[in-house]
Parts: sequence; structure tokens; C-alpha cells
Amino acid sequence: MRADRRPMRLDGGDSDADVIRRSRLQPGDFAVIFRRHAPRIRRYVVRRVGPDAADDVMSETFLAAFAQRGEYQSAYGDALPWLYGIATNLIARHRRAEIRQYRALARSGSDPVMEPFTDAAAERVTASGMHRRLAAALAALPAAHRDAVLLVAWGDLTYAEVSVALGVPIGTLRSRVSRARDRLRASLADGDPAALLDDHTDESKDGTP
Amino acid sequence: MNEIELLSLMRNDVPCEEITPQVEQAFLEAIATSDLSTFPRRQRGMRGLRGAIGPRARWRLAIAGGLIAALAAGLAATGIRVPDRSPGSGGAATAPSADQPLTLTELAYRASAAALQGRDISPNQWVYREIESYGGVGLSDPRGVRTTDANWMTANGLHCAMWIRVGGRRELSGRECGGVEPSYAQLSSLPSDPAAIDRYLAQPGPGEGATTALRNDQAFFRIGQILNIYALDPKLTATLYRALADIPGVTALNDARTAAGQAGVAFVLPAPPGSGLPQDELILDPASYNLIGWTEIDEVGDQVHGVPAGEMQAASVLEEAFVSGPAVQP
Repeated sequence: MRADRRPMRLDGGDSDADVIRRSRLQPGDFAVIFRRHAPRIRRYVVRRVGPDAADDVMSETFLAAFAQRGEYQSAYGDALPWLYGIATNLIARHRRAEIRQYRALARSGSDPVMEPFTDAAAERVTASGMHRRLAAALAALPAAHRDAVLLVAWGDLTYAEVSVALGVPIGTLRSRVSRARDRLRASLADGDPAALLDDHTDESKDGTP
Repeated sequence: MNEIELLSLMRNDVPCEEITPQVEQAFLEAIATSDLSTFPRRQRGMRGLRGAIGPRARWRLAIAGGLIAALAAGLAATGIRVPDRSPGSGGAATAPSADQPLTLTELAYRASAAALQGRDISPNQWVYREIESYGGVGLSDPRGVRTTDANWMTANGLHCAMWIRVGGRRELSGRECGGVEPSYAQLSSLPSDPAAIDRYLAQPGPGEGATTALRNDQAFFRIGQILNIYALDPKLTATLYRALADIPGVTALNDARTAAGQAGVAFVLPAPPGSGLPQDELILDPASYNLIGWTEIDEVGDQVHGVPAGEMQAASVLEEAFVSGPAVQP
């Protein structure tokens, strides 16, 4: 695990587990968890569903975490995987929108998620062909596989942490990531990303209605 | 650069902004009153952060440190290392025959003996690998996905490089990597006894549980990962093969096949029923006992997510050689 991956503790240095335990009696202490992790959680959610939905998902994540803090397993010193897990479950409600955005990127090269962070229209249509292919592959992945690989790539979690976040055995997690990686790798072959999208997209695999 | 690294670059310009005091106060008010409805989401959320425009989206080869683990994980799944293909590195060993299949003990002994014939390798020695990866139900699945990747990595796993395609051009991407647990530096403090190595590597991480099946899988996977990624000294390689054989449940498979169809002998850890774990195979060349492949088989599948029973993920070494640096072909 990388030492530089977590933000420095400038708020007293207690572990997340200590803070959450304390917050059971002093609810206000949970704000420390919010302060520590909200930026990373929101960034992850923005990358998945865009800024508009991210505001809701991020807020709901911490509200749900606060409500569930009594069930937090103190053996996990770092609450980030737990929070990512909650956020990922909430992202499921926005799965259709998430997939639409991947498809839009794959077809047009314009990424709707990145529009608010790009200050010139000309810059918007600059997504590399590689990103278009990856977007097409992400749209086609089964939801569980997409969750797993994106928690590794965008959540910056280790396999063990993703296993905690998703509540699946690490062997299952490893298998899901491996399958997702195969699809992603295949998507990077030369060719038209839109064609790839047509070949692989199968929304029913996501379990969405 | 592998697919996880490339994926990590996608939407990487989304900023990671600190929480404003106003937003934190709103959250504090909500939880203080235990009235969650007082924390208006959209209005008092973090929308204001969008005003901060990040760097313009563009393809960047510079990778944040956060990609290290992803790379390590990726290599664990695809990078299978042959300890040494120099003359005399295990080539003198006798291949098993149909009449005289190897027992697990014999396999471990022969693999260890072959490893001990290798030479010491500098931590900064560059290794070129060409790996074929495969995913499908059985090795002849017409819908299976088969890809080939090539990369360069130092023996200590800290530096790596690969060709990537950027805007139609091929560019060499080189970077710091690493992030594997245990690190190359930590290997020197591994126990010297095979059984002790198993116990050490079987320790579950936070939240991984501590069932016997998971511990065994953990030890098997980590040893495979160490053998895959690093170019190790002969003694440690030999000890790790003996440690594999000491893991409860491990058996020898005399007619194993890599993803590329190479025949081999394998250390196999079957998946206990109901464990949710895949069957793991670590495949060695039957003559040299060099590592030539790794296979995971999901025997049960996952109906919920449309994963068919018997789906396998496999990788095999097509070529591996010591080279003088990145981009140098053997």
C-alpha cells in the first residue's frame, strides 16, 4: 500500500475507526470523516456519473455512513473503502446515466462528464481514441465488473480494499477485475470505438430495468 | 502502460477539491440534529466546486502515484515470469511422463532444483516479457478473448515500460511502478522456512476474513505474484516452490495447458465448494520447470452477473529475456 495515497491527518491524527467509535456518542465528530474523505469520494463519483448526480450521491453517501456508523467494523482503521462501497451502491441508481455518458464519449469523442472542467468547446472533442474505446468497453461491462475495476483504477484502492468496499471475497473480486481487464484490453485494439460499442454493449448485463 | 493505467487517466482531470467550511457546516448541522433532511443535497452540496476549472483535458503520459497499485495488480494477473532461460537453468531436469506422473512433492523438488541452477540477478536488470492473455470458457471457447502484450520491467518491479498508442502513433511509456506486497525490498525479510513463508503470506488483509480457504488462496496467490513480477535470486525462487507445495489443498497437475496451449505441469489449488474462490494453477515448463503460465478458473460462475461456470482467465509467457533496457528487443 502506498504511503502517499491517503491524505495527511491534520485533524488530530486519530484513525477513522477511533473517530467513528467516538461519533457514536458525539455525532459531531463524524464531520472529521466527512472532511477527510469527501473530496476523494466526490471525485470518484464525478468520474462515474458526472458532477450533477455526484452532488446527490456524495451527500447521500455520508449521510448513509453516518446512519450506519454503529455497524462500522472498527477492525478497519481506514474508512475509505467502506465509504467507497456505500457510494458505489448509490451509483447503481444512476447506472443508466453512467452508461449513456460512456456511450456518448465512445461515439462522439466528447465526454459529457468532463464538460464542466473544460473551458473551451474546441477542447471538449479531444478525448483520445483510447479513451473512447475504454468508454465503450466500460459501457459493455457487467455492473459488478465495472464497479470492481473502477474502484481499483479510479478509487485507487487495493484489491483487499475493494473486497471490503464491495463485500465480496477477494478471490471473487480478483476474478471480476481480471475479466474486466480482459474486456478493456480487447477494447484497445485498433478500430472504430463506435463499432466496438455496437458489438459489446448489452445493458441487460447491468441488471438495470 | 496497461489497461488499468490507461483507464486511470480517463477523466483524471476531475479535480479533488477540499471541502469548504460552508459545506462541512451544513453536514455538521444535519448530523447534530440527526435530522438528515436539514442537509439539502443539491443546494448545499459541493456544486460550487465545479467552478474550479481543472487542467484542460489532454492526453498525458505523466501518471499520478495513485496508479501504482493498479499496475501491480495488473501485472499480477498477466505477467508470468520465467526465472532464467540462460543455458543450464533447469534444462537438465527430467520431464514427467504419462507412465510416471509427478507427485506434488516431486514437482516441488524438481522446480526448486531447477531454480537453484539459475544465476543471481541484479535488481535493476531489465526483463522483456511477451504475454498472451485469454479469457473464456475453456481454452477453445470461440467467444474467448485473446490478447498479447509486451512490456519491460526491472527485476525489482520498480520500473516498467510498454508501448502505447497515442493518437495513432506508437510511443514508449516508461514509469515508476511497484506497489506490490510484499515489495522486493521486503522479500529479504521473508522467513527461510517454506511453511513459515506460507503462514506469513496467508495473513489476511483488513476485511478479507480469515477462513482456511481464503488463507490458502492468499498464500498461493501471493507466491504466484512474487514469482510473476520479480526476477528473484535462485534460493528464494526454490524456497517459494517448496512453499507452494506446503499449502494445504495444493496438488500437482501433470497435463496442464497454458493459455497459449503450451503443455506443462502445474501447482493447482482447487476452489473449495462455496468459497467463491477460483481454482488457481501455476504452470511450469515440464522440462525446464520455468514458470510459463497462470490460470484462474471460476468453476461455479456467477448467475447474477452473467458469468458462466467454467470461465477462465489465463496468461502464458510467449517470450521472456533479459535485455539491456526498455524498448530493447531480445
